[in-house]
Parts: sequence; structure tokens; C-alpha cells
Amino acid sequence: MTEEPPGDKSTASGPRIALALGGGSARGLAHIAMLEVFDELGIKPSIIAGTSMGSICGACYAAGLSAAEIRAGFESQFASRTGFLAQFAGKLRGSLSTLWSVRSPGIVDNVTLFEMLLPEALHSDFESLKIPFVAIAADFYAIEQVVLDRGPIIPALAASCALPGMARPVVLEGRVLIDGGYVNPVPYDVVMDRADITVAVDVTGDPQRRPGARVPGTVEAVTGATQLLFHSITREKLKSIAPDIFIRPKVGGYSALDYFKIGEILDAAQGAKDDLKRQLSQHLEAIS
Amino acid sequence: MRPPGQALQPRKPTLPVTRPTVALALGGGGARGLAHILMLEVFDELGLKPKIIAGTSIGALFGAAYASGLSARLIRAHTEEVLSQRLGLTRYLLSARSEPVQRFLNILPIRSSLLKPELLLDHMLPSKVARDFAHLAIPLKVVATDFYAQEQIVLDSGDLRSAVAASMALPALFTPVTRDGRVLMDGGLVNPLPFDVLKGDADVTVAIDVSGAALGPGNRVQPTAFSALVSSSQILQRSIVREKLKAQQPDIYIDVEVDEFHVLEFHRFKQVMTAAGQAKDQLKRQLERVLTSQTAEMLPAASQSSAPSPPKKRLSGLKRFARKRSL
Repeated sequence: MTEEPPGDKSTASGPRIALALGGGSARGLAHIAMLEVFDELGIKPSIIAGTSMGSICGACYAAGLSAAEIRAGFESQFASRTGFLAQFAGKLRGSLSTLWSVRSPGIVDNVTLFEMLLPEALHSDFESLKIPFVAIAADFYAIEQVVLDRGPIIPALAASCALPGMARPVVLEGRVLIDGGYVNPVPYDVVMDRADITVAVDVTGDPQRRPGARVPGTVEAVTGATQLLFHSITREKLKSIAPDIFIRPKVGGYSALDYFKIGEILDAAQGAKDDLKRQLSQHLEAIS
Repeated sequence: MRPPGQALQPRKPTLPVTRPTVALALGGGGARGLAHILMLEVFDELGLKPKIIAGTSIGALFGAAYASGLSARLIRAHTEEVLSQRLGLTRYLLSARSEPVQRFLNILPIRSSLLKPELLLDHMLPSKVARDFAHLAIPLKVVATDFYAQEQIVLDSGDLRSAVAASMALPALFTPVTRDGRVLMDGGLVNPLPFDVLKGDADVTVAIDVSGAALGPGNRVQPTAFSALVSSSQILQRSIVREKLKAQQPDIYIDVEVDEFHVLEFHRFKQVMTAAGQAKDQLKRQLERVLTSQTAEMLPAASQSSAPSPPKKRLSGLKRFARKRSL
């Protein structure tokens, strides 16, 4: 799925910046605050890599939407639960079973879901994006990373976000693909060699101790364990290769499905946003 | 942590004293970890005792048994007996179709009757296994995860059973283990292949990786949601090992290729043993080569040049991976 790098279409002069947006479900809404930094500084990344939720935010930005537009889009979508569900009405082609299988009611078909929810700009191919963009998925059987960078965008994003237990695996070119976080939760290493400055944003959640609880419950234990595994991959990776700027917004306590808390999450990411802005400005000054 | 000078030397070495010492790391990987028994057989067959052992999860279980002074043959006989008992408790507990996982998957009211890992250990561990780290014939480091501190804990003193139980406490199947006020879980969450905790402990570090391998194309059917979920934590552990090997490598790395086994397929004991036979031969060849080299100083070169097909294969895998990464 990738031998040839996509060409640098960024016209910006000056240092090339690679931006890697990590996986973290609703916590990944914090990525929008990081994209605001780029808009406020008036610079564009020369390449973006995204895993899971990072791939959605990254693809939107690569398609030319501004951070404000992305934010407005998410806010209108998650303004209220009833509003969120209402938009499904009339949009679903075929029966409801195309989205949810009857056998496993918890499991969603991401391709169908994303076709309904994602902005029009993403109903297109990678080749049409304004900024080169790659999405990270995991090949379930080969147990290895797959870098998706061509063809239709939506199935690639669906694969990058196919969290086992939540979404059906996505089959692309004969490969069974699941959430990219399983091989590369913060995919900065994929784009590092194509930029002068690499920015990585990690929104992996952290196990939270409930007040008064001495031992975690089962759901908490399973969720927390998965988060620990994601962290372990990133920690080991940092031992061999590190980005220039590594940002971890303080959103670790939000749960994967806290999409309706978008306002709160973006507020929580404010500190990280300021941090990124300062560090990025310093790096740009140092280089130019 | 045990002070380095305190390492026990339980048996007289059968080769010259210049013979290098070996530190052995046994990784986590569920049923694939049954293959560790074969690796321990290699040490028995060579008359070589590891100077120290580190274990994660199933690796901690077999590491504890071997460090207690039991022979690999005895461990194998005991394990086979336990796993072949019809309607045996262990089989029920570990069967891929066992209730707890299924119910978890359906997200139906999650049962309160998660298993206590200690109960499983009483069944799985031979009765002669030491009760306390202090009684072990070989020093042992057991790797567990401190859930709330989100960090690795290396247990090497005090009660052995609770340490091994903690190292194996895979969420969704087992309750966490509370030890010294810490909530502990499966060590594989932070360190599925704990050769790094043995750094500096011996001349040669051996790591046995049972974290899984790619499935052959013939077996690639669309996974059910259930198998996707069960396999996913294995994929994560494999990813951790892969990243870790980029920053540091053990002297001898054995990737046990028992890929076609499900992480919970403990009942397929004989098949795992057969599939891991090749890995056993590899380990034996590489250890023999290292041991016949005259001095420990010559080791790095010797162990590198002696590396036959398996490390090469791993390298090519990594190269392939690197190529993908670099676009």
C-alpha cells in the first residue's frame, strides 16, 4: 500500500514540519487545539500522519479545512445526543444492519458510519488532499504496521479507527486491518525523515483511580490495560527515536466515548496548545 | 532488586570456570508460553543453569518452577497432566470458550466472579515450587504492572506465589493482585519480553519471545469480533517487543514461532510442543556455540557470527517494517 512517498505539495517556504496525531478516541478532539496553533502561526505542516482519531483530525486538516471549521463541525455533531442520533435518520442506505450487525450489537461498521458523519471534503482520494497525509492501520494477521496513503480516504480512516471490540475490522486490498494504535499509537516515526521539525501529539488515555476505589472494576481494568499497552509501545519507541516536539495534552482522564464533552476536552488541551505554540515558535526561530 | 553480588550459584558448573554465565528472560504470551518448557529442557540437556531468570506472565510461572530447582522434565510432566485432565479446572478456566471472556465481550452485566489468579497457580504450579523468593535455587525477577502508577514493577523478594499471580493477572480474566498496597496486573502490559531487567546480571542474556507471530495467508479469514478482541492485546504486546528490540537486543533472541495458536489455547499442549521444537534446536545450537567460546570477552562477536537463520529472519522482518515506516 505504500512504496512511493506522496509528493510534497506544500508550497510553504521555510522549514518543513511533520505533524503526527495519535489515537485516543474522544481524547483526540484535543488535536483540534493543536491544529489551531498552526492556523494562528500561519504555517502548514508539510506532511501529516494520523492514527485512529488522529487520522480523522489529520485528514480534515489535510483536506484544507481550518481548525475552526473542524471544531465547528465536531461541535455541531456532538452538540446533543439526540441531535447526533437524529442525523442518522434518512442517511442510512439499506437497513440498520449495515451499520450494526445483529449478532454483535456492540460492533459498528466504521465505513458506513464515516460515510454518514465525515465532511464532504473527505469523500475523495488521498491524491486530492492539499497536504500529504498518511493514515496508520494495523494488519491483524501479519501483526505489522500498514501506512495508508492512496485511494479513497474514508475506508482508510475507517481501518485506522477500527478498534477491536467496538468496530468491525476493515478489509483493504486483501488485508484485514484494525486500529493503527495497536502497532503505532503516535506515528511520528513514519514521517520524521520527511521534515526538519517533527511534532508528535499523544492523546493516549491514562487509567484513573476512582475516589475511594482500591481495586479497579473489570471495565476499568480492561480499558486501563489497553491504555497501558499503548503507552508501552510509545515509551519503547521513544528509546530508539524521538520527535523534536512531543506534546501530551492533559486529557488522559476522559473516556474514549466522551465525544459530547468536546468543549471540556478542548479547554483541558489549552495548556498543551500554549506549550506547542511556544516550542514550535522557538524551533522555527532557531532554524530560520 | 537483589544486589548483584548476591546471586546464588546452586550447582557446580560442569564446564571450565571461564564459561560465561547466562541470564534467561522468559516472555509473556499465554498458551504460546508453554514453549518455555522446551527452552528449559535445553538448559537441562546442556547441564547449564541460568545465573538468573526473569519472567513475565506465563514466563514468570515457568521461571518460578525452574528457579525452584525443578527439572524441565518434571515441569513438563506436571503441566501436561494438569492440562490434559478431562473437565479439569484449568482447562475450564483457560479454554478459549470459557465464560468470562464471552460475557465480557457481549458487554452484558459483567460478572463479579472473575478468577483469582492465585487459584489457577495452585493448580498449575507443582507443589515443590518455593513459597518465597528467598528459597529459590536460582534468583528470579518477576515482572508485573503497577496499574495506577502505570509502570513496571520488578518483584524479587517476599512471597513468590502472589508475585507470579500478579505477573499473570490479565484483565478480563483475572482479578488484579494487591501487593504492598499496589494494584498489580499482567507484566505483559509494560514488558512482554523482560531481558532488559537482567542487564549486567550475566555475561550472556537469552530472551525467549512467545509474543506471537504473523499468521500464514492460508489462515487469514475475517476474524470474529471475539477473536479480534482476544488477539488484540497480543498484537499490542508484539508491538511493544518490536519497538523495544529497536533500542536494545539480547545476546541470543529466540522468536518462538507458534503463531497458529490462540493465546488461550492451553489445551493444545502437544501441538505447541511440536511447533516449538525448531526454536528449541535454535536455542541449543546458539547456546552451545556461546559456551564453547573460551572466554566471556569473546562473546559478543561469537554470538553474533553464530546466529543462524532465526535472527536473520527477524532482521528481515524488522527491515521490512522499517521500509514501511520510512514511506
